Amino acid sequence: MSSPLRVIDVGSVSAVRSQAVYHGVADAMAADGTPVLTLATPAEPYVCIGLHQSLEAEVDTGYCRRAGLPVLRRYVGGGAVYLDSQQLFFHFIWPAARAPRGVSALYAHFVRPVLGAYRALGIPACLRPINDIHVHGRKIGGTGAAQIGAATVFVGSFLLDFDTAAMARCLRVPSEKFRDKLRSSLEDYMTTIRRELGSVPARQGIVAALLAAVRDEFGLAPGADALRAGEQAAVADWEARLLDPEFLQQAQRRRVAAAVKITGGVHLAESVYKAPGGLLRARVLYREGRLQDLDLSGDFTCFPASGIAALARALRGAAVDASLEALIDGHMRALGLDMPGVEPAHLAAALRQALPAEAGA
Amino acid sequence: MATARGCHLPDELLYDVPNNMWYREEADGTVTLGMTSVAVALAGQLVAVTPKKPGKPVQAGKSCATIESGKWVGPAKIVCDAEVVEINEALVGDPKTANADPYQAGWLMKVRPAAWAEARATLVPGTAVAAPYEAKMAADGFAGCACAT
Repeated sequence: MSSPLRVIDVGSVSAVRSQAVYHGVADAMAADGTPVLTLATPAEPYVCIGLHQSLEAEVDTGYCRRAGLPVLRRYVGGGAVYLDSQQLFFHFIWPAARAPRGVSALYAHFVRPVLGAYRALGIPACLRPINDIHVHGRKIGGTGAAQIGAATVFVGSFLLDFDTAAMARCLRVPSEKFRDKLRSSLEDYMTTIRRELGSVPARQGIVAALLAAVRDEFGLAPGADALRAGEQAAVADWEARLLDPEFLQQAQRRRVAAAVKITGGVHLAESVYKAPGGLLRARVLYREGRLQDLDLSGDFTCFPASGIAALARALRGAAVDASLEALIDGHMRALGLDMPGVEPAHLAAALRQALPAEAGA
Repeated sequence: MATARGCHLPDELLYDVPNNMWYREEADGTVTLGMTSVAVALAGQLVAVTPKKPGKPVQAGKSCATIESGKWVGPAKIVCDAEVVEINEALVGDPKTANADPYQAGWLMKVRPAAWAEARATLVPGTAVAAPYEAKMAADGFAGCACAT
């Protein structure tokens, strides 16, 4: 006989409840407890940041306040995300002893039924390690994980539809041009169930597909359940904790990346570099360590004036490695560019500067 | 130095095998601790480390630091009740140090234990740690440090 899986679908709930539910159930779980799958849909849009992120560095809090968007910090890693009622959250909450130990193994294990559900819906999703879910090269969902109390937690969401403009609007970015590029990059590199299928299946159909896949992949017997008294108390405690301004506004604990991760391997960044001939500003879309797209600007002088845009076009697709400086030099010569006080080495440094370590070639 | 499935385990340290932590007794009565090579191999590249602050008490079996890697967040658990004396600010500034050098530059914190003799008795010396670590790796299905990503 299959082991049980408690399925707790809390339905459409407040922003804070949609986060507190899995924190609380995990906290209340005994070391030998029964695995739990919680499901939730936020009734209201909100912004959620990772445990170690700096609130002010990542989120345009002034805009969020004016727009009435709550901002919450979760006890899970990763970046700032915009969440709303077009997402169905799933949270696998397992006794730690029954979950894989390594982080990569953990994601590979728990993503299986999620991929199974997507495929049952007609979407050929796959895992892009470590923790993104992709369809035809576009990200359809991110996932995260944590150890909370005696439980291992794996969280993610089914993206029914996604408001890329809202996501781009609530993040803190260096310029409005960067924000435009962020929005268009999200359009280019993300997808949704609606985009893949042309329509959105009923929530209960997605849930049924997930539960069937859990049964197939893990050999568990899902059964509908409700929060027990201890879990209700723990969820209430976590609601209070997540709403505590001190928890939200805690000092920055992670170095602020000069880039926004669009999806695995794709980062949008902006850097400023001071060359003898003036400030260089580079706005770059990196893909797998290459310059997928870039804009170069600044207060330096370039003859002819149109040459800098031509140089940027010529550098598309270039690898950000040791060969970059020589490549820039070659293009500058071919284009006949004269940039007093701006050498190929300065441009290469500006282009390398904002490249996050994880985006490296 | 002992090695288990490609993971180095220096002889001169003491190990809390279940929690993947190492300890080193200092001459002044404090104890330095950190994450083993197994811990960082399991976690992958660290992106954040947040130890409890100096002067704060930490409890045996509870978290003395929160670590993040690859969108996973979890605790580093300490073996004894103690007071945090010093934290490795260089590690906080560059968490990858723990991946590159878990036993030297990647140390996590120094603590003043409340009852060290009792806690020490639960730890395994480096000279005898290979076998129990091998058993834990087998139970966990952990392939080894060279294979983990």
